Amino acid sequence: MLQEVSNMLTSDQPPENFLFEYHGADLILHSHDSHHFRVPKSYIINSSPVLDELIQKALDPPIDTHGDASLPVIQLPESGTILHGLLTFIFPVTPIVPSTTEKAMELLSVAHKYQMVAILVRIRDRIGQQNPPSTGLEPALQMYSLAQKYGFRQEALQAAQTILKHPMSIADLEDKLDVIPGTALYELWNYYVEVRAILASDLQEFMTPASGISGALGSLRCSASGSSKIPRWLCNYITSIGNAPHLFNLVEFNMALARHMRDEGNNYGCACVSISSQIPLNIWEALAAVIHGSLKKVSVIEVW
Amino acid sequence: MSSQAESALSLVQGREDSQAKVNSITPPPEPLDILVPDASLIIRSSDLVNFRVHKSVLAMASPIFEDLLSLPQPSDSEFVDGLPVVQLSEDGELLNSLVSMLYPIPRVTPDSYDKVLYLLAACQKYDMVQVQSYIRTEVDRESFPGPVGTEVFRAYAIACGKGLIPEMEKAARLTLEHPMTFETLGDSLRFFDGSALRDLARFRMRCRDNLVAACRLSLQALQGVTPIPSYCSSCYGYAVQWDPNCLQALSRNDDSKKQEFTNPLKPSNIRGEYSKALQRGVKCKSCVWVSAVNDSTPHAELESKLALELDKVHIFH
Repeated sequence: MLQEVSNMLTSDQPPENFLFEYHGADLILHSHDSHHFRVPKSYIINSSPVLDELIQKALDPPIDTHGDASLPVIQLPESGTILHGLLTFIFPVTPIVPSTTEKAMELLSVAHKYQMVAILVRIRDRIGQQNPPSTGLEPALQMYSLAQKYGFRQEALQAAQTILKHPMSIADLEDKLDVIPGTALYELWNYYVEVRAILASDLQEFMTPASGISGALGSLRCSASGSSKIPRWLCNYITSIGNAPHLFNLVEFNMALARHMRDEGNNYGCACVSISSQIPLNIWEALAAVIHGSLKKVSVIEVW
Repeated sequence: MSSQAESALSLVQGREDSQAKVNSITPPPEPLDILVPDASLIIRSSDLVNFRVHKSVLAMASPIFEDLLSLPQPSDSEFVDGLPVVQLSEDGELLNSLVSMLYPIPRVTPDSYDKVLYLLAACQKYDMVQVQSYIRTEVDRESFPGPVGTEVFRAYAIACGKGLIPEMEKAARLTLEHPMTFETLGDSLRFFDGSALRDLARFRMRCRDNLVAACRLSLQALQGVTPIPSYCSSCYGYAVQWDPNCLQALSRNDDSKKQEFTNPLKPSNIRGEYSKALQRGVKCKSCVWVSAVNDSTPHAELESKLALELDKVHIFH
């Protein structure tokens, strides 16, 4: 019964042919750019309490009619492309997620505006499947900026955590500073400062003798250890993460160990020189657990 | 509304709160004071402060108002005491300052550079060239507040947002006296929009490039030859005692790029880096270059040259 005349289109094509034609349609949704979608209103009102209210108001008193169909017309402020994308999540058709981050976030924002709780979950799932989060700095900054703009904490947090994997300074961001507005950058910096503070504290605790790191070290006896018996190279590396979270990276960790092994190459008293592969793995896993725990503590991102 | 605007000299005639605006039945409050005789117009601020002014004065100061006031009055115009009301988007404090500069009365000086910038922006919007010029002169004379410390970053951002070119240039130059880091930017970050922050970062990099280029030229002048010889004149050229690449350390690399943001970018700092690089370049301690390098007089001259070089860099290039 439902004919979707768009299955040959990508989500970014102009919406000239975007049309939902439902033979039993009893409502027309009209986009701001004059595209209309004939739909059964039961789907719409069950998906969105906001649209439900809007439809009830439009139906009582007398209905506005459109053309020969004599169906009530609901004028919506969204574009045809976005409305079409939204409808693909409401009706039993293949859902379409816009290919650009910007449009995908706009689609999310519209679902959010109309309080489509279940649809929001589906859109998020679909976005996740179609566009796995990029680890690149620029896409993450763009995502963070858009998530801030539309007020999506989940996406803002996800992007902020990706950004943590990169150095955060004006010099490092220089050519990307126009991707993100100052207000968003300010919030991002506040998040970064908070993460650093919590990381520094948690990692300090992690390095106390009674903490998990002792178990990970096992019987390793490094000749360059402090009073805590933890190898100094490891202490320095862990401390550095508190200042610069992007250093939490397996390559950096291995480089720190390699530098130490090079420096202690002639020191046969240092067990690190002949360390088994399991110990670094244990240390890394214990460290990762602490850091992920710390990041969970900073889960709230201020959105405008 | 600040106490400054509330005192408002003779120009604040009436005040409404936002509730009164919503409730159109509530009449506007009676004028508090009437010291502007024969007013012909009310301009109303965004926070609903009424200023009684003369159309002719506004028209003389602003071609925008001249055009606006020459148009026929819309039929639904609001009148207070028989005077037409023009709603403006500026707040009462700003309009109080602005209007005080149109009349022969004590001027109301903004109490911060941010407010000076917003005042200049209003002048720009209404094309009040003379008033804008007067305010700029007062800032130069330090009769009006100027930017203080790291406030220059915010000043730059506001000037960018409002399209105040001279203030952008001035603020951009003043930012060089401070590190440009997230810490120093602080909540000024919120005022940056579009490409303003990136442009400021690039301006800083261009400044450093210009200073380093000037150092190279200075070194060539110091040696009296171009390019730099690879021998030491005191060592009779028996050994390569002079490292002609000693200024490489000043060139752009990851460390120098970071430094130009984490340190102030002043001629004296670059001159210091230049001296250190030269000293590292002179391997022979009896070399004539030692005295040249250690002689502070050419370095003072260099610092002056560097300051001039810095003036050649502009935020727009």
